[in-house]
Amino acid sequence: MRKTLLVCRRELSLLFGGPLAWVLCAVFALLANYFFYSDLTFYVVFGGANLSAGLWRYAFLDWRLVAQLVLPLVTMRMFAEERKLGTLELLWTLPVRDHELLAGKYLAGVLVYVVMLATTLVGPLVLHALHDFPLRPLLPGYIGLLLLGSTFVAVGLAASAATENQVVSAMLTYGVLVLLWFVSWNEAALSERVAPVILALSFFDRFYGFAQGVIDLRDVAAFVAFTLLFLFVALRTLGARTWRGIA
Amino acid sequence: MRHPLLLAVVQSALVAGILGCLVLVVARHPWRLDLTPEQRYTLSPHTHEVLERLQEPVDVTVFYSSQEGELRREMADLLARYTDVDPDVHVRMLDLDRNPGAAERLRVNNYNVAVIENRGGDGTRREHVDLVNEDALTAAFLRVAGIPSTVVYFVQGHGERDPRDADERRGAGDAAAALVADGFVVRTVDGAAHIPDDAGLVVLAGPTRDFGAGEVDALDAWVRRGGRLLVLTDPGTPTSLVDLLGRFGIEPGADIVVDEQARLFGTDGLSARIAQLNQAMVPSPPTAGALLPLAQSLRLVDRPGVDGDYLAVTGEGTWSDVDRRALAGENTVFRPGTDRHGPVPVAVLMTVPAGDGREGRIGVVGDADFVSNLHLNLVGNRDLLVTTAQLVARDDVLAAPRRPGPARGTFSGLALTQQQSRIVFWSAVIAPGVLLAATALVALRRRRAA
Repeated sequence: MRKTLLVCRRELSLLFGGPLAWVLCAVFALLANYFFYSDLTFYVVFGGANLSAGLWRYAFLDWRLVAQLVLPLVTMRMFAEERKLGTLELLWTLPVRDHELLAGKYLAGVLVYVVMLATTLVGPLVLHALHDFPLRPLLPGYIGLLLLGSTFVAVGLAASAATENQVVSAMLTYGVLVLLWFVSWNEAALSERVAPVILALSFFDRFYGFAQGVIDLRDVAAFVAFTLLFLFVALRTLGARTWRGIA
Repeated sequence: MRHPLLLAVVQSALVAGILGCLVLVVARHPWRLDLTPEQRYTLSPHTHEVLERLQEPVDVTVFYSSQEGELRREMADLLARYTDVDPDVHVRMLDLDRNPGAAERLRVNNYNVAVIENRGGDGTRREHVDLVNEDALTAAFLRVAGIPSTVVYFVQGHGERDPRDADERRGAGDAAAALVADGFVVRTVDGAAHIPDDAGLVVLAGPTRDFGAGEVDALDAWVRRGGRLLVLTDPGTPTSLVDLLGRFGIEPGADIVVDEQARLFGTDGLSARIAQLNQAMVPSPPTAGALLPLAQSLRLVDRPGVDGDYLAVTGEGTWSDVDRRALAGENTVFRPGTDRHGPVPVAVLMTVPAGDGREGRIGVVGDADFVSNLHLNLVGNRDLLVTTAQLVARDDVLAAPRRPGPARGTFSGLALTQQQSRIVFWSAVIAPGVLLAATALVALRRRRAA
């Protein structure tokens, strides 16, 4: 655990020591909060009396989109850059196991994402100061965003572990995320038997309940399973060096 | 292993399989936490009660449009909640365009239509639901469960509320919809001189003008023959109706019930909150009491051959303003010795033996405003109407709370001033982004300096 935390700390200092994490956080905050403001304006004009269905649902669905856009840029460098600069080989000479290395980087990625999510709290809190409303329906949305983002980070790490090119890493991540998001869009192309399976894989469908203010254990389990699967793929990809005789 | 890549793929597939199994195990033990204030995504206790009464498996086939993904998702989500409660509810989601054969067999021509089928021992019962929401679905489940529909006639012609009227203050369209959702079939009849043969319940919803002598006698005779009558009457009941009720031992108080505590709900103290339903009649009463906008008390007097009891009373703190001073704008202070202390009876249910083992029933609520479109979805008003209608019309009462409809009246959404809108924009959109961008610049300079 101590080694995991050390790796995490090193990763965070690398990220926040330079402008990259700050720029990504700024872009995330600007986009997410602008979406919130436009959703709020839409709700005030057209939304009716139900905040959960008229405002928060749309805000969380938009924030999910921003996370999908920004998180691959956070994770793209985590292994790819180290591999390119040769520091990954250096890390392998240290008494740190692959799973500790992976867990440290994963934790760092999730923490960066938590910082990003924290910036989206400003809008609801300012609105709450101006107009009293129940805050409880926001909880499932944020839990859903955290689970979804954690899965994105796991996918990004698996992609980053597979290549030394950051652009390729980011594109691989986008490819997987967009596929798992779009997979249910063209339902007309799916047969009746295949559709339920495909729908179960759709991140979009899985996140929908959280955005509405509902925590469903099945969706939580699905996101945790996706995360574990992609972390396992990342671990096996890191382990591939033994096949190539690198270590 | 000579093929490490193959090994990695096999291992990943195995892990995916194990995780998939775990997800399936969780799926067999559904658990949901609905944190929306109005429990918008949780089935109402009424729906649970209806599902508990289903004896046989029910098939639900929904025909959706693949071009309307969000609607399909909402319908599937709603029906999944039914399946979670009762695994004998089997749901099939079919694309209408790709399943013309199934659509033809079930006689469906439009998108977003659900067909509910119950293949019981006495043949298949089938219901179509055009607007897939909880109210409509549960009503259809009720019908396919074999509980026969009761035809309700709203008498018109004496200033009664009209179940076809959507007007917010005058109309009772929402009341009709609530009754339909509970398995009633709502119709209207002009005058009460001739009650239709198929009437299972006749409703007098707040008449303001007198009935003809023939109408009063016809209603009297109808109840004594085993008919079921529900009377909703505001203070100032027409004399002919007072006469009819008197024949069954019911005396409208011609007063006003004052409920100071109801001021908590933003009213003027003349709205009376029902504190208690008679548990001998309604064993599991709804938790939210109804709020009667302007109610009068009811009193029972002995009449030979008529039996009955109070159905609903107001709270201890209420009292009866016997000469209705409050309506004249006078100070409504309780006068000991003149006004009457609460609890005040505001609803009664009487029965009359009709021979052949049948029984006539008459239910009376001392207020009719609560069924207006404006008031029906306030607290427990809808439950009071439907429960009372069931008590009068049926022997098997479903009393669990229904899902309240959308509230009418004062719009309660957000209304931001231009200044508040600017505050949100600058503090939520601009400030965090600029702050983080400035930090990025500082980090860049430091790195360059280093």
